[in-house]
Amino acid sequence: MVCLRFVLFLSYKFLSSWKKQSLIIVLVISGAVAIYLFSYSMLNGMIKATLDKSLGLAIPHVEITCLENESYIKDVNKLYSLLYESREVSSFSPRLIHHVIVRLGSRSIGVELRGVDIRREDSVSGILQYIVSGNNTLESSAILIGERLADKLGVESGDRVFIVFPNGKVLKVKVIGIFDTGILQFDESVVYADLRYVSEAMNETGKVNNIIVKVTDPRVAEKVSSFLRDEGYNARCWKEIAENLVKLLKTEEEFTGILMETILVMTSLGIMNVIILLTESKKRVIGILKSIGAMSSEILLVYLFIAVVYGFIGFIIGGIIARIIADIVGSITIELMTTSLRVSFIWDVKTILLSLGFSILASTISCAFSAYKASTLKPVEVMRFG
Amino acid sequence: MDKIVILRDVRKVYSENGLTVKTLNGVTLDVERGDFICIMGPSGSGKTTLLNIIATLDVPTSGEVWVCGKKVSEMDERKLARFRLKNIGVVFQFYNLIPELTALDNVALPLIINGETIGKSRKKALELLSKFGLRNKAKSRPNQLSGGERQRVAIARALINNPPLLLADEPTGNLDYNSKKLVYGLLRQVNREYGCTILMVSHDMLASKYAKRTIYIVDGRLSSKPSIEI
Repeated sequence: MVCLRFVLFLSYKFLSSWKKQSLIIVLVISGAVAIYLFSYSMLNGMIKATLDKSLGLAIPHVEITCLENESYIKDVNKLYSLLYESREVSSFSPRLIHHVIVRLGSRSIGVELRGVDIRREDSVSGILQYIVSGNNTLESSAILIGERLADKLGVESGDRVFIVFPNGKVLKVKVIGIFDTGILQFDESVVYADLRYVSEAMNETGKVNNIIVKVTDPRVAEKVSSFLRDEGYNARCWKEIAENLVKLLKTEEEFTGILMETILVMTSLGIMNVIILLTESKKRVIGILKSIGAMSSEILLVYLFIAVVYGFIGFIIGGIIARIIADIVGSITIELMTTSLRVSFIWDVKTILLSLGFSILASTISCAFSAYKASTLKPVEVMRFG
Repeated sequence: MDKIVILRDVRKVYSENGLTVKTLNGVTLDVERGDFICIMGPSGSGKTTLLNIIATLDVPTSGEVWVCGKKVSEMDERKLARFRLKNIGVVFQFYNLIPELTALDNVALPLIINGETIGKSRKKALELLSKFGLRNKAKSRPNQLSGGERQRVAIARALINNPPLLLADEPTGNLDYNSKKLVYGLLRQVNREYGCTILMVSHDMLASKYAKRTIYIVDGRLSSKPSIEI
């Protein structure tokens, strides 16, 4: 039977003697774990942050728009009833959307004017949490605009601007509040006004051409949109609306997967090199151990145990390094395409366990070959000469 | 008296690069329990091969090998390892101590492999080192010891499990005259005090003076008379 006490004793003695080699191996594993943990937690954080921010605000869970060749959503009261009755729908917001021009002095900028009931809109999109100046009492002749648009127009909350409607009507409105969602495109091209005010301005009282729906869980959005389509409405879920975003996230995930596999292979090869050299230089010791009664399986276990210890220490150090780098990176705001991002990291149990598995797997795979070779050495072949 | 080692027509042939070398050529030997035998012979005569086969570190091409009443040629690798641990102590010319361990841990190691606790193993190892005059060297690593001290540590390691058989392969090959005498004296003491059977391979004439009997090996064959070449 294998003597575990001997395996642990010898592993400890070897580990405390092979300081230089151990340091190199642990550093290789730590580096790989740090990259692995950092990349994975950043990816998780970015996906979650992107979805959290985009879902509901820029991308509704479910969006109902007009059928082809129609200007408004038909049977809107029946649709409201369906949405009220659905257990999966937590709130919805009817909108009347038109493309208008906001003008101040010589500056004219085309925007999307969303006529909404701001309380309902907030319950779906959470827009009011992004108000950075002014207030949110969206009454008649008042609008909420994004910070970037305000900068372009050179206005502050309380200032007045003109809105040129598609029917030619020009109305003077007050900028009652300014929001900053961090989604650059959103902040420079979306303007909120009261639904009744827009309806009256466009002579479309009681009409809506867009409804956004918040569901209890984003995963049921597809089911809800499918149900609404079956009822004759033009509904799409967030995955269909943000098809490109979903594809991008999927591609990013796949790319990270490949990156991780590459790191795993490179790390294993690096460790394997050191271990092979170590085993070669320790052939004689292995021969001695076998000559005094150690079994091959015990020698194999010594090497594998050392590999696990290397993996575990590498995981701890790599984890600490990743955390420190993440804290530094997390404090920086990055402007990425149309979105300004502060990179957030998610240290979920799955990622941590994956990196622990990764570090132990890398060190064990690299040690296994040498360990097996070492354990099958014939003592008489390696001990003949000093 | 009962026999601790029995060899019957043992042959060992090495084949390398198409060349066949007969190292042992039909060796038959009986070793009585408590004996102290010195096997002498010139280089390449098959001394070490013979010792390795008795130590179960090597297998014969043909013939039968019985050690401590067991037919070792029929045992698998796992059983042989444990058999060696309990029954055979081996002392090598180049000491073969483990450089990562102190003298104390080197001596204690076979006892730890045998399942004894580390504390008890170290206690017994220290007793043995004290007996061999090495108590003050217990914490030293092999590279901090002289050749004679290393060999005494190696003998202590070989004896820690109280094996009935001790095999020594040129144990003084790297030592000066005084250290040689010390090691031979120690082996004789072990043979007398512990009743441990000793088989020592050497080409040093001094060795035969310490052994109870000397046998000679020439061209892979045993003989009771020395060859001129020794």
